[in-house]
Amino acid sequence: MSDLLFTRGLQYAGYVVEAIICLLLFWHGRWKRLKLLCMYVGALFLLDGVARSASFSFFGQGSTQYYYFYWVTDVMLALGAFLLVCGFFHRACAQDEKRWAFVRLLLVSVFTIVLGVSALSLTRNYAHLYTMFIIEFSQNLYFSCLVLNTLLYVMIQQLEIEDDELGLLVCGLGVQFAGEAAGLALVHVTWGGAFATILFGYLSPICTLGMLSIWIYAIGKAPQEVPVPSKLGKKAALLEAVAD
Amino acid sequence: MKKFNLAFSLALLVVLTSVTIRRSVGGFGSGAQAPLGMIAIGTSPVPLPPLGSAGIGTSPVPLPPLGSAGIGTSPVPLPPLGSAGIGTSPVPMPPLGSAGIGTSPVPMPPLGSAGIGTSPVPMPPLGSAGIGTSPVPLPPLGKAGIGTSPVPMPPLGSAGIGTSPVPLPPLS
Repeated sequence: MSDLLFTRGLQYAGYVVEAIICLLLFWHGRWKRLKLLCMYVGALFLLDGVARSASFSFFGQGSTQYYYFYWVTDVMLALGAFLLVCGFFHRACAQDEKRWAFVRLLLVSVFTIVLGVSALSLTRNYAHLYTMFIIEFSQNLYFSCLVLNTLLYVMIQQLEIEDDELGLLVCGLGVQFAGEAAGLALVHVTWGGAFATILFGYLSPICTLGMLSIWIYAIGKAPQEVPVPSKLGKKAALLEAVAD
Repeated sequence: MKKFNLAFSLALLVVLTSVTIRRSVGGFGSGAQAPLGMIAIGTSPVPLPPLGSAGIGTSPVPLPPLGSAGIGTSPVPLPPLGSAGIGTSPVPMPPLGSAGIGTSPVPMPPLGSAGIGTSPVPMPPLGSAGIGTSPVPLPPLGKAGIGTSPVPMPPLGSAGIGTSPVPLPPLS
C-alpha cells in the first residue's frame, strides 16, 4: 500500500513540476530565450503528463497497449533530449562559428551511426522490425546523449564559458541520464538484488524530478548572463580593470 | 576532409563508448517491476512487460524443440533401439547358457559329474590294500553313508604290500 502511494506520489509530483516549468517558461516571455528547452518541456508535459497518464488510466499498467505507447513516446522523448543536447552545444559554441561547424558535423555523425547501429539489431530478427528497432534506437540514443552531455559539461569547464544557466541546465540533464545509468549499474553489480531492483523502479521518476527541479532553479533563480567565451570575458575584465 | 574524418572518428568513439556503457550496465534481464536494462524518461510508471516474454521486445520467445536438450537446432539422432553400446553395429548376443569369453559355444559338462574329464570318478576300494606304488585315492570328503552300520575302520595291524601310506579312514 505504501509502495503504491509512493509511486503515485512521484508520478503526480512529476506532472505538477512539468506544468510549473511550462508556466515559468511562458512567464515574462522566457520561452523566447529558451525556445528549444520550452519545446522539450512542452513535449514532456504533453507526452508524459497527459498522454501516458491517460493511457495508463485507460488501459492499465500491465496492458500491451500501454507498453507499446510508453516505449513509442519514450523514443520521441529521447529524440527530443538529443535535440536539446544539440541546442546546448550550439549555445556553448555561440561565439565560435568554426567550433560550432565541427560540433555540428560531430552531432550529425553521432546520430547517423546510432541509426546504423540500431538498424544492425534488425539483422537478428526481421520479424521484430517495429519493436526491436524502436527499443534499440531509443536506448542507444539515450546512452549517446549521456556521453555527449558529459562531453558538453567537460567542454564548458575547459573553455570556462561563463554561462551559469547553461551549466545548470546541462547538470540537470546529467542527473536524468547519469542517475538512471548509475542505478542500472548498481542492479548489475548486485546481480539483480532485491533492494537494487526496487530502487531502480523508483529511480526513473526521481531522476526526472531532480532534472526538472534543477531546471526550475536555473530558469527562475540563476543570474541571467549573456554567454561570453572565456578569452573575451577575460579580456573585457582586464580592460575594465585597466580603465578603473 | 580532414575535419570531417576527425569529426566522424570522434562520433564513432562517442557511439562505441555509449554502446559499451549500455552493454556493461544493462546486459541482463529478469522479471522485475521495470524491464531491467532499459531506461526511460518521465515520471509515469514503467509498463510491465507483456506476459510470456522475458526478453527485450514484445515478440514471443521461440520455444525449444520438444524432447531435445542439446545445443544447436538440428534434431538429435535417436539411438538404435535395443542396443546400448558405443557404435552403430548391433551388439552380438552371447550364446544362451554360456558365460565364457568368446563366441564359440562352451562345451557343456556331462550331467551328473563334477570332476575334470568325462570318466567316472573311481571309488576307493574300502578295506582293501592296493597293490603297487600309486597312492590310494582318498574317499570323497563329507560323504555320509547310507544306513546305520558304523563306518568300517581300516584293518588295523595289517600290513599292505608296498611303500605307500595307509589311507586314512573317511571323515564322519
